[in-house]
Amino acid sequence: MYKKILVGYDGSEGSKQALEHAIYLAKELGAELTALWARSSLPHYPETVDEVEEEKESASTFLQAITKDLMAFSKSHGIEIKGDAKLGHAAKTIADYAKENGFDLIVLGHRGHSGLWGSFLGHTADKVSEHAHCSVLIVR
Amino acid sequence: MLENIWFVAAIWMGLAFIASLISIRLGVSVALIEILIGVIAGNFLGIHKTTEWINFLAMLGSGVLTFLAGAEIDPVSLRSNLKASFIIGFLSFILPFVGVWLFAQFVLGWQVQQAQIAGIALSTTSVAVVYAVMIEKGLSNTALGKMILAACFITDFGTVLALGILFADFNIWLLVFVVVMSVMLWYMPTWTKYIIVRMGATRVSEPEVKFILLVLFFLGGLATTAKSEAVLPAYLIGLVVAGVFLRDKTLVHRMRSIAFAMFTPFYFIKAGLFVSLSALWGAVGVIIALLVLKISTKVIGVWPFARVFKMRTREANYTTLLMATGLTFGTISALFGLNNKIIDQTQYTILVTVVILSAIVPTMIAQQFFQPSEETMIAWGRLWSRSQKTNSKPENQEKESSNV
Repeated sequence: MYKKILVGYDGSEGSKQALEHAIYLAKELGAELTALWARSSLPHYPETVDEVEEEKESASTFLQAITKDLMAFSKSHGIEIKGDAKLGHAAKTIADYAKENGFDLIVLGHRGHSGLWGSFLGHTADKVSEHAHCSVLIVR
Repeated sequence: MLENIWFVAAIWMGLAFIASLISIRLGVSVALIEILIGVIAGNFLGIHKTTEWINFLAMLGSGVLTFLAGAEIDPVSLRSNLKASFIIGFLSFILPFVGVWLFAQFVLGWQVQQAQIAGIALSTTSVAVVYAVMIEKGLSNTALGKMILAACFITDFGTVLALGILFADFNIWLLVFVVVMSVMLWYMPTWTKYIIVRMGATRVSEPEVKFILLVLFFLGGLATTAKSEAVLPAYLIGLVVAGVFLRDKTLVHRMRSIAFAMFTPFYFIKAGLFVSLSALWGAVGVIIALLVLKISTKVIGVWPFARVFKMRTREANYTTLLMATGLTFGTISALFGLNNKIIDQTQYTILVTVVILSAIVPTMIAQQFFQPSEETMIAWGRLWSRSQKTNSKPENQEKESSNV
């Protein structure tokens, strides 16, 4: 039924739950699984270039931690999980990424992903479910 | 209780702390939030005055911030795009400067010096805002991205130069200042490198940071004695040591940590403190007119040359709008005018509001309607260098034939 599954992953408890569900579905359906970390924390309207640079560096450190997480999940569940990271508004980035790469299911945690700028505009899961081209599973 | 220096410091640091938390939560620059917190503190919390030591810390904030802005330049990309960056950067400064100056003097009826401050404050662009906009789409490292960033430096250089020269007293002190600064600018890269190499970049006693601050304070002292502005030497010192900073990130990180923890919060909160909301409501029309004027003079100056320099319409529009941004030097110029009693609080409110709007409005339009692709930004570099080679060929051929 689903051949390509995309899971939003940011290391939060909610996203870990989502990943567990996504792994289960991927194994059951023999689907390809990709975890995407969308982060929009580069400061808007900064005063110095270094402010942006430092955020980039901290994002890269965080990405390493997430990659480590994913490798552990992958090993313990015996499934290949591809990882990717994109900068931008979380909901828009996840929805666009899913469309551009032909995913047919997006799995998201009920909490998580929605930090910072995006939380003013509604939680990420709500937004993705509104704008995604494919089915969206929100894990509670 | 509010006369106690510790409590006053605690209140200001408390405001700075709240600004940091909001900034992290919203993903908006802490500086912008500090200005807004300052606006709230000045208009609703009854904080209307600053003390000598707050003014001093704020002054250090603007100085170090300007130094860091100068030090952010990549000398290699400036050299490789010099012609396009220089012409676009210069026009992006001069047309808004003259346009806003004339409008403020002859239409708004501001005095000459007040109109000049308006011209300077609204001629600026913001390297950091432009960089942040481009990096989200991976455009900052493309040929066109580097050219735009270099052009921003040229524009800001014009702004800093105008601020340093227009209001200076042309006397012996100005001559002394110019001579001493020129000598120090010449030797600064060598001295800075020598101190880092000989003393080490990670000593607890921080000799390299103290050396930079020593030079900034000394030249700031000379500049203000000549009735010039301390940001001029700060920016220039930043520019000449930029190459050293590119190689040694430790020094720049330390300078920034010191500045953002201790100096710039006082500067930005103070900058917001003097924004009067009642004056703002009464001047909405003027604010809109000045914002439109800033953007339109940038369009008149930048857009035609962007087309001449081989940009397609979309990239030309994008470049023009990014050159119309402004933030750091805009607020520094406006606060310079207010501190030196050149402009009043209403004029200051108008200018700071336009500066903040110019950080937001052009970038939103650029991202929404004229976002170019990474490929076209890279392709511009090939097109531009090919056209430069084609133009220089006949000259070379002429030289060769004259040699024969």
